[in-house]
Parts: sequence; structure tokens; C-alpha cells
Amino acid sequence: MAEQERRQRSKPKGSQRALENLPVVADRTQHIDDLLDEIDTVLEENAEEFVRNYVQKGGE
Amino acid sequence: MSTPKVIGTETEFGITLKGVARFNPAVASALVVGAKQGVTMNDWFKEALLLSEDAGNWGAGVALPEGTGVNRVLANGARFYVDHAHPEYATPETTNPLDATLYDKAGEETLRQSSKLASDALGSASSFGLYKNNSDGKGNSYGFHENVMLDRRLPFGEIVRLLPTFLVTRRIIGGAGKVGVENGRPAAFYQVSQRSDFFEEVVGLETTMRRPIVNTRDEPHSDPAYRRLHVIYGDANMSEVQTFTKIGSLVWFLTALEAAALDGIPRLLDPVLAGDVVSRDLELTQELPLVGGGAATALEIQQLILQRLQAFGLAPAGVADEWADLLDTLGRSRDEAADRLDWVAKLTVLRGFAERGVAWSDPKMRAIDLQYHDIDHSKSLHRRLVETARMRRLFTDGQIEEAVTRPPTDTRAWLRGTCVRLFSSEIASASWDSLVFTNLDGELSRVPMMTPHGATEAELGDIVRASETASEMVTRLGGADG
Repeated sequence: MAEQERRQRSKPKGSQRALENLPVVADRTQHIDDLLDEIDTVLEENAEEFVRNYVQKGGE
Repeated sequence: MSTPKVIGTETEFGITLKGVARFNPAVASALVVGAKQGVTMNDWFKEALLLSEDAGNWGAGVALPEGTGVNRVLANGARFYVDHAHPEYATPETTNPLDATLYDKAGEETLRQSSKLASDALGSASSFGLYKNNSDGKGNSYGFHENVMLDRRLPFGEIVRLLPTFLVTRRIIGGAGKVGVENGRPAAFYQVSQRSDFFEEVVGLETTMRRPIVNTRDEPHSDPAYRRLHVIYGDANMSEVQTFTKIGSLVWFLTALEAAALDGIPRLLDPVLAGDVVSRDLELTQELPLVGGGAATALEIQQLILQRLQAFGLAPAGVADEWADLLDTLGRSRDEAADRLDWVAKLTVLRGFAERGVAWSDPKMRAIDLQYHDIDHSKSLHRRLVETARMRRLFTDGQIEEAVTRPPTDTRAWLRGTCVRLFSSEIASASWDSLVFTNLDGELSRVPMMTPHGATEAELGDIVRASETASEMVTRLGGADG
């Protein structure tokens, strides 16, 4: 499991890395934007009421 | 050979009735836990569910109807029950961290199936929401507990001396993340841990107030040669990798502790205070004072403990690599751990909304925090991250669904779960350490299971498979202790 991870993360070194990093960063920003938009569509409609009603007594 | 590390987890789930401010959570929990046993919504339940308009006594004061299934033993050997005002799921006994993680996730699936049945019975008016988290953000916490079997000859004083430092620093790989602060603790807009705010002592018996980092509860549910260490300090995790590494590192640590191989590891001067610091140290740079002078960060202490354990050996399969890789990642670039750690994944999402102008005090941030832990796949923000390959998994949905009805084969959970599946009509009662059967004449017979790693498929498979009834099986067992 861990080995696979390390392989996925191994990146080119030096100046090659600097060049390749640009599109990756833009891509990441796009990804987080897509994710936040998607989350907005599934969030409980009334956040304030949802949070206020979430009371959990009598644990453990 | 060291004592086998039989492992299990217990999770209390937060419960809501969507759109309803006041309801009775004990009744709601009974409807969810009992859903598969045919406990269905009738007039009594409708009234009781909404009874507690003024319920200062949550859960108390309502007597459930006779026969309501609030304590079930499942075909996978797990226990599923109402604990005060929460549905609680205790995994079957397992022998390794990967199985413990699988059955922990099977608990979510069990809750998902049961809450859907219970919600369908409510009609269209509302539905139950179930959350695998540990705090309501209003000062109430509910538990996630890890249980590990130890040799009782290990002096408890050694556990008290060395375990707190490990547990407190383990937060950086075990935290589920939380918006805000509770219980009068130091300010923070976001914390690594859901649970940290609620720990006030180093050692003690309590679980509901003045919670201790090391809990002294001593109920082995087995031959008393064993101790069942009850670890109440951890957060419940959605991430499979995180659950695996959290449990696996604990089990490995305890294996080395039993072998007296941990002398000289760093010890925190004030573990309770250090817990506050670690939970607020999102950049992983705060140094914690150590016994005997000096200081180190949680990450450095975890790395030192890992090195000692690597020198010791006997790592549970897969744990050393996963743990080392997580610590390396956190040391290099915290945000890269968002593919494995709940607290980092959640922080990434929340920071994204903060950059869009949402204040940390906005209820939307707290709603995102809660909804990360919703076990309903259509609502869960964790599930979104998994489905879009932003977070790694260890299992397929199919493997988890299978673990809902199939017990581990290498502990007494195998006999328990298999009897629930084959002989449920003959079971008079089932507990962790025994099964009681009724025969046609109404006579009771008890099968003790005092060894957690006994009564396995390898030991008893032939006998059980050759038996048409539980009575036949009991005769063949000849009263032997499995």
C-alpha cells in the first residue's frame, strides 16, 4: 500500500519539476473549486437550523 | 510468544431526526437498532419519539415496550444496541488491525441499512440522520473506544507511565478534525481532534465526565488471565487508512510494552495539557515539554516511537509502512495527507470555503464538519472525497457489505455469529463470553467462550457444520470450553 503511494508521489527533480508544477497547481485549484461547488449542492439546506438541532446528550 | 492481540472497537453514533428540534433520542435509537427485528413505527412510538418536548431527562423516563430489540447480536458476531441515547455498535473480536478496520466500517454499513429501514417506516415526514463523530459542538461527547487484549502480568503502572505520551501524540494520525472548541478549553477555530477537549485526567475510571487518557475499566469478558485494555482517548474515523493506522500503531505499541521494550521513550511532562496543544497545532510545530527536561513535537515523538518499534519488530501486517509513510508525509507537506487523514481532508475543504469568504464562525462551517461524518452516502462529505478518488480506501463496498453478515473466522466471534445465522431460534442469550441455547423441551444449555481467540472456525467448523440444530451442536461440543 505504502509503496504504491510513494511511487505515485515521486516527482521529477530540479528545473523539470518547476516547469511541471505550474499546470499541477492550476489543476489542484480547479479540483478544489469543483469539490466546493459539489459540496454546496449536498449541504443541508438550512445550516443554521441543522447545527442548532444537533444535540447529543447521554454519551458513553 | 506474546499474548495474541485480540482487537475490537465500539462506536456511538450521533442521531438526529431531520427537521425536528426536539425528539427522544433513546426512542429514536431503539427504532434504528430494532429496525431489522421488526420494531416498527406504531402509534406508541410516534408519541414516544416526540414526547420529550421538555426532556431534561434525555432517554430516561420512557419505558420501551416489552421485547423491543435494543440489544442485538449480529451474524458477524458484533453487538448492536442502544447505549443511553445513542445507537452503539461493537465490532466482533478480530486478530489484526486490518480486520478490525473492516468490521469498524461494517458498523457504518449496519447503521446505514438499519436507519434506512427505520426512516422508511417514518414515512415522508422525516428521516433519521446518523453521524460517526464524537461531539455535538455544544459540550457533549460520545465515544469511540478501542479494546485490546493484554497479558494481565503487564503491570498497569507501566501502561499509565508510557501509554499517555503515545496516545496524545497519535492524535496527528488519528484526529478526525473539529470546528471550534468546547468544555471551556483554549480557543481555536479548528482542531485536529473531536475528543481532545473532553479529557481532564491522566488516569481514572470515568467515561462520561472528567475523562482520563488511560481508562482503568477492568472487564475482560474472558479468562481473567487476560486484560481488555479499554482505550477511550481516540476519535472515530471515517478514513479507512486512518482507522487502520490508528489501531495498528496502538496494537504494535502495546505488544512492545508487554515485552518491556519501550524503556527510555520520551514521556510528556503534562499529557492533558499536551493534548490541548497537539489538537491546536495544525502546523505540527509546537514543542511539548518532556519528563527529565527537553521538548519535542508530536511528530518527532511519533517518529521516535516508530523507530523504537521498528527495532523491536513484530509489526502487525502493513502497519509499519503505512504509519511511517503518514509521518513522512506530515513532516514534508501536511496537505498531502488529505488523501488519508480526516482532519486534514476536512481542513482542506473548510479552508477552501474560508477563502471564498465564509467566516469560521459561520454555521455553514460547523454544518460541513458534521456532514463530513454523515453515514448516508448521498449526504456524507467523506463519501464525496472517496468517490472522487481524493481519499484512499482499503476495502471495496462489497467487502464491507459482506462483513456485515459474515464473522471473522479466527476468534470466538466466528461461533457467535455463525450460531446467530444458523440457530437464531434456539438462542436464549448471547454475550461476549457465552452462548445459551434452549432446546425443544425448554431446557437451557450454556456454551462458554472464555478464550477470545478460541471457538474459531478451525477449531469448531466441522462440529458446527455437522449439526442440524443447536442442541446437536451442544451435544457434540460435549460442554467443552471453546
